[in-house]
Amino acid sequence: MSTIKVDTVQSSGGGAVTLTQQQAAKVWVSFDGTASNAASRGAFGVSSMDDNGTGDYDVNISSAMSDANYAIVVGQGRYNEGSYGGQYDISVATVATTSLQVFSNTVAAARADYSYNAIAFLGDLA
Amino acid sequence: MSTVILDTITGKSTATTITIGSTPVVSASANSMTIRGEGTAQTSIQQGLAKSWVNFNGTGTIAARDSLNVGSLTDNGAGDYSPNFSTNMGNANYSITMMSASDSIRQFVLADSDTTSSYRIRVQNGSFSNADTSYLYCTIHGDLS
Repeated sequence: MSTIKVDTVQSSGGGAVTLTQQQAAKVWVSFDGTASNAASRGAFGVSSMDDNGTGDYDVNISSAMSDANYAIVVGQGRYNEGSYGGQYDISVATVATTSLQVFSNTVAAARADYSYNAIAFLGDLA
Repeated sequence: MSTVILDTITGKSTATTITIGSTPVVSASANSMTIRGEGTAQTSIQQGLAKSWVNFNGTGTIAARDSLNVGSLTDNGAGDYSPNFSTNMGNANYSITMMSASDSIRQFVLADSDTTSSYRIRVQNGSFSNADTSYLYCTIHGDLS
């Protein structure tokens, strides 16, 4: 067992050291669209949720993304929930550095609230 | 090129904080390590990492092409599968993002029965029938046990 105690680590050239690549998700959330204010079950990087109306939500981000070009991945539905056997999709409405607005839609293209919604972002933090 | 071999790095002033350049980039407390992101914000390494993912063939004898933290795959019937974790999740509140590859006009991957040790997914077509499909992609973000 050995220990080094330091305050600063630099590269051999005296510059910044690269510790990781940009591969970790910066935000993820599992939320209940039927609950008050679309409450999250579990989340990372989410400061709050807004319920804007039926099937209309904002995911508000704790630490802003550097731009609105981040990748967004979502869940596709929940077996046997609601109408159409639980077949619904989450569509992206408004992308911003501090929030993401999404709609949940039935296969008949109507907005609807569902209990299980999953979203993750991959991209750069500000 | 230089190499340091050791077991522990501890901040001198603050045991859980290490600074690169002039900005603290690593801090750890309560078993959570943070690191500076692309800008000035900090982000949690553990929370940002996918805890499980799998790319598998859901036709015939189902099999993973590649995966992380998937001990086995259970074939529950047509278009009905359960990925089983090697290491359990800490709770069932994790996020499941899924996708399938298909020539169908409408094909959904529906989650179900999330537990700390497994989750269940069903692939449905436009007729609301379960159907096997060749390419399924699932990713889990959440807390490990």
